[in-house]
Amino acid sequence: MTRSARRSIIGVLAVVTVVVAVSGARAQEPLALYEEWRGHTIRGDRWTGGVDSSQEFHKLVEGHTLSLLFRVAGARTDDVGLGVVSNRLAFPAPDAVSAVQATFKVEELEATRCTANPNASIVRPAAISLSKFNDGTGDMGSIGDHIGRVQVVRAADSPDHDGVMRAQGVILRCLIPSCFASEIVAEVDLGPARVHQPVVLRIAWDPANSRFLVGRDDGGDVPLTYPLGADAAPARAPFADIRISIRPANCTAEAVLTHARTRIGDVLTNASAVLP
Amino acid sequence: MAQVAWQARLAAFMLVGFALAGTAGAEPFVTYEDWTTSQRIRADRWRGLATSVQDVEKEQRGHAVHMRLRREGSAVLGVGSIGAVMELAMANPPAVEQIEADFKITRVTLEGCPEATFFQSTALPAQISLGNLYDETPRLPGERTGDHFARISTLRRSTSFDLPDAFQVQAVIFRCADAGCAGATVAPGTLFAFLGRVFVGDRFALRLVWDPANSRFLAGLNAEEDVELRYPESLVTGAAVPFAALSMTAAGANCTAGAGVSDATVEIGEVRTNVGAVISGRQHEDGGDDDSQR
Repeated sequence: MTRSARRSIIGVLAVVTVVVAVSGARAQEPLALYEEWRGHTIRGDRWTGGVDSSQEFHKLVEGHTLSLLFRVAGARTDDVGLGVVSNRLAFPAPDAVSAVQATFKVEELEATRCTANPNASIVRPAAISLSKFNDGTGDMGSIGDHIGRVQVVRAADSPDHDGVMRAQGVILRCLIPSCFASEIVAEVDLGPARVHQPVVLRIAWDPANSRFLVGRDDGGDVPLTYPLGADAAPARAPFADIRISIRPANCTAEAVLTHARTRIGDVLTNASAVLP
Repeated sequence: MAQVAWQARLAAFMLVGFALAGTAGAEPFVTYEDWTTSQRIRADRWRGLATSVQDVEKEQRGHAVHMRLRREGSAVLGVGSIGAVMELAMANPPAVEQIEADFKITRVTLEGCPEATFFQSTALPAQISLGNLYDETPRLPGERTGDHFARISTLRRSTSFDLPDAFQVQAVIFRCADAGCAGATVAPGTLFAFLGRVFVGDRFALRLVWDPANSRFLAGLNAEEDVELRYPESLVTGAAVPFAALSMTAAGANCTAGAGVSDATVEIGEVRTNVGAVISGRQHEDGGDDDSQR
């Protein structure tokens, strides 16, 4: 490929990127400050949320940040599957929340490997999720619920250098009542992020255009589109939360160990969700 | 090294002797966990979740596990309270027939309703639950309705007229009232037992022993004599979800004048069980001390 041809391709890509960013520009209510962790404890009117069965965890205000820690070992039942567990900081009134932006700093990230399991553990030390609608195909639990998510993720077998994660946006559709199994409806890579470096993630639901908008730092929003009519009904299990999510690999020889610690700074939401 | 091992054996012997003094007729207690074989909570021995919480912590630091559970009530509802629970659950509950653990409640904050003291916040920071019983209520596979378990708890309410920092120690047998055991009631035909009082800053031991031959649990505080908790002989072994866990519970009062708060921290030291429940072997990845003595 000649240098001029390469320049042309780069130019086209730049234009496409700008168009995507512009097309994703938010035509919704503005974001406003929901939480800046000025108290010594987590406010019950603003936050709730559980932690799945695991070894160690915490959710504590430290300075003007929230520290989330999650440490879990994989099951030793087989050498195939992965677990699904999370430590969640949930909005108590999820119906009011249609957009969330938060600043994260991943401070610790670890996942040991299991040579016998072809599926590597996956650690998502920072994620924002919105479960807003259901496609009407299921009649039990969360089946058919769609979850928009923006996250940083690293797999135990990642070819990236140590401390490098990928930021990404994804729409998931729940396949079983508990939603522990899901399929990917849409996904987009938002580039690398690094441990110890702050990253701002945001997601907004744009029902008028059948899409979520996801973005990071100062970059433009990127649309994640779902099929027309997929938002036929409200989510059966609506939620909006910030979480550490881990999928530890099962391993018969020795339990896989996974661990993440993340600091959360200012949290912004659509203005109407803000509590005084 | 040999001297260290000898001292460890002597200490273990003394602990067994202490435990036996308060537990008539039970199998000797042996160490299940002393937090020395790993720098982190061992996955082969422990698990457990937390529900519906604000501030929460379950972490091993040094040779103890530190737990914190904080739950606020609602300032909108104005009636009742909102509860939360955190578990440090044993990995193989069917094997566990008796549990004794050392606790220290290190801090408690309880704020109730200034306008209606009936709606109270409660803190139960040190608890042991044990049970593998079922009353044969018809149910679908996996449902817990009719499961029974015993629990010994330390309890303080925001409305308490007790001494400052005092917790009542009580024991009771519960029956799961729904499929998920989200609600549990005092089991029919059983009674509450009050075992005494502990204070913030005290080191104390709680224990529960299942005695199926006599259709009862034995509950004990420190070296004091055990108290009997009888249950109907009609209960059968085989709960849908056998219970063997240490836990914290909190409930924040719902007050329109300002949400109530329950916030407590507890330190868990050595945990002892029946021999058959002990999970030996070394968790090598955390660089803890060798536990080949066990």
